Amino acid sequence: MITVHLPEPLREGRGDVMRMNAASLDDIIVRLDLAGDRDELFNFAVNGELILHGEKNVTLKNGDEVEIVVAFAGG
Amino acid sequence: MSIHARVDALLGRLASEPQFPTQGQTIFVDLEHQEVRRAYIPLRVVESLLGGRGVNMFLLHNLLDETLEPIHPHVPLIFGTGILTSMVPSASRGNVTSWSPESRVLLDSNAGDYFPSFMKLNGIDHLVLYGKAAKWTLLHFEGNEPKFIDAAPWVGLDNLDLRARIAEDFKGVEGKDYGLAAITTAGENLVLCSGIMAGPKAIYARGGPGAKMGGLHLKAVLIQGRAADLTTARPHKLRNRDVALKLLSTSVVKNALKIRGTPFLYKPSRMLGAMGTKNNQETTWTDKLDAENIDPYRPGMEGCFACPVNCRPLNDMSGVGESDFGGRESEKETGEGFAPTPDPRLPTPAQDKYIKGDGPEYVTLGKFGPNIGITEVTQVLRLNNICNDLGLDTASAGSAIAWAMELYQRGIITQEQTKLDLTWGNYDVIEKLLFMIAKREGIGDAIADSSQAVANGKYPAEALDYLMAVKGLTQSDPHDARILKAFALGLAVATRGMDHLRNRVTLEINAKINDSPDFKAELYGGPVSAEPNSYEGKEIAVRRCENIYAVGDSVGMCRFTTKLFNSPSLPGYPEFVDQVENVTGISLTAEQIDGIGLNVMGVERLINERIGVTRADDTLPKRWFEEAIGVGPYKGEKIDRAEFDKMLSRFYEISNLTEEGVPKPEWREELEGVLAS
Repeated sequence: MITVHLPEPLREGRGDVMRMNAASLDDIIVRLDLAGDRDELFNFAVNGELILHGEKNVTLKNGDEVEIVVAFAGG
Repeated sequence: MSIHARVDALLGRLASEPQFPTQGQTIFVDLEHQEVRRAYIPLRVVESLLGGRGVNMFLLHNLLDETLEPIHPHVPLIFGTGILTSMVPSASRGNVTSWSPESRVLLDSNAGDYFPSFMKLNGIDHLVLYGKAAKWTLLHFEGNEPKFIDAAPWVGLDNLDLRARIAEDFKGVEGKDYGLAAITTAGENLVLCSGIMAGPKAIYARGGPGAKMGGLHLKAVLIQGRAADLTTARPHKLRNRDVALKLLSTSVVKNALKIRGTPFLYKPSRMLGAMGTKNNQETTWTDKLDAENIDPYRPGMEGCFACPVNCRPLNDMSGVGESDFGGRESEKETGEGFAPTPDPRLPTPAQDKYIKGDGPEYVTLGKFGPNIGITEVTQVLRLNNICNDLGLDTASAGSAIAWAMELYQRGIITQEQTKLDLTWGNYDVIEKLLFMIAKREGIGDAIADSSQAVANGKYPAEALDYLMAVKGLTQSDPHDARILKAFALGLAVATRGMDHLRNRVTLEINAKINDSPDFKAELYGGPVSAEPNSYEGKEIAVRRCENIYAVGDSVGMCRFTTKLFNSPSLPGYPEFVDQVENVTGISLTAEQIDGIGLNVMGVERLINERIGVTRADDTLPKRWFEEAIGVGPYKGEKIDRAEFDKMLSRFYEISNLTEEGVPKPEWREELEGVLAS
């Protein structure tokens, strides 16, 4: 079971923490229907480590904590 | 040649009639002799540099006497509006340009709110100010007719009181009846990290424009009314609707900018181990300052002239705000309600004019949080509100305080000199320091000199080893760029110094884009490595960003809503060329307008060359070459000098620059031809 922490813009009534079975970050994208909005704005952190590239190579195991982080900047 | 002779010579080459339907005047104001002259920028210059920042550079290049000191009143201060300012959604910006007394290189700073739009709507495209007024002056435009008013009633006022007094004295409402650009007591006292306030928070911040304006004895420029007829060459409002829809449908706008504003990068930066902390000695900090922790203190959002985004968060720590917006709604969803815990260290609302205000932006959160050792949201908000009132650039002021704190930590300056305990996170002292900086009192006088404190004899020479600055300008962005090499290159080559708003490849933090090599290559015009810490191809991304941001500044578009700064989907060249044609009748291709962005950088490098800037100045702080990141997934990362130097050479080559970083001879000849137009 994977714990997924959602940022406020993605909660949409789902609460800030969800638990789900997932083997990869792609699984989470599909289950949360994030394919559209996340393109521009959201990154993943797995067990506190921010993923800046190579998302496809990240595999998840039982007990992992995934956080979706708003990756956006201002001035 | 004197400034008067330079202005005479330039006026002789400018046009006497508008060159396109919406063109406003360029007004030359000699504050010393209270003389006003007018002209129009020639079409060839507009076609090469557009307006705003680009044409400001044309004016500065023609009027600059580099044998003077930057603060000298015969070095002009130039306000400019973008060629689309006030006419396209989110195009509400303008630039102020000069020779910086803070960095001693090019000064060029951008602001929004309402002042630039009031310039444009009153037929003023550029305002060239020079000469020291005999007494403090308020320049009052009704339409485009200026009056020189004795500013004695407003001298000594800071931003909050000044704006209230102006509203009362001129019987109007800012943003509705007038636009105002003004300096505070910090500007009057020639504080080098002071800006020109264009609103309650909006500030022409970087490079010390407040001091520069103070050096002219100019307290404020007030533009009242809407006198100009801005009839466009062709209908443009239908295309405006497309621009607005594109803005509002972009994920970054609807999910972030419009809801919370800009402080989001704090979290990924600290998780990455790239959050500038304690003058970049460390690179991560508390999660207590994550953007969502500001939610309870945000009663609503504000925005600039005719912008549908409204990205400016307000703050209110009194717990008695009226709005039911933003973070409070999210708190409601979780059933927790809005109940921020009062900070017992702070005054009660009745005593405290800093209990509410505008902001903070991400820069302020970083500079007045981790960079000086502050961990409490309420303390950052209050320092933000004080800086807005005192007219201090939070990037420069925060950096200068952090520098002083590291010097204190290392014993390079001592309590005997400072009379204050400059320990990291010492909130009471930091708050006191802000007022001392504005008044140039005690150690505040040294901090007020910003990066020039060593040159001005306030700190010993060894202090320079710990100054986080490039070309004399301290870093704007709190992100520590030892990991992301595109960020690092951008900070090194930015023409105004160490500033992210000139060229930052923000999308380097986006994994989805990094993992899409074809899309990334299309976005930047060439292959760019997917790996954040690689040097490979990063010059291509910086070049593309620098071009489009320079174009954005020249049309007046906000950086946050310009393609590439935060999203690949925001308005960019297709929208810019269409609206430039609709508004002005000037037809450009996307390739041509990209070339204009390059031209702006080229002229800026010609100006910097005259001031003495060389390749050696396109570098980074010593710390980033010599000390490695100590935490996070990129622990051990720093900047490799040899790799950096090769990346810099590649950047010069694709930018049509020589190995010394100035335009190659053939291009230089073209640019000088435009500048002599």
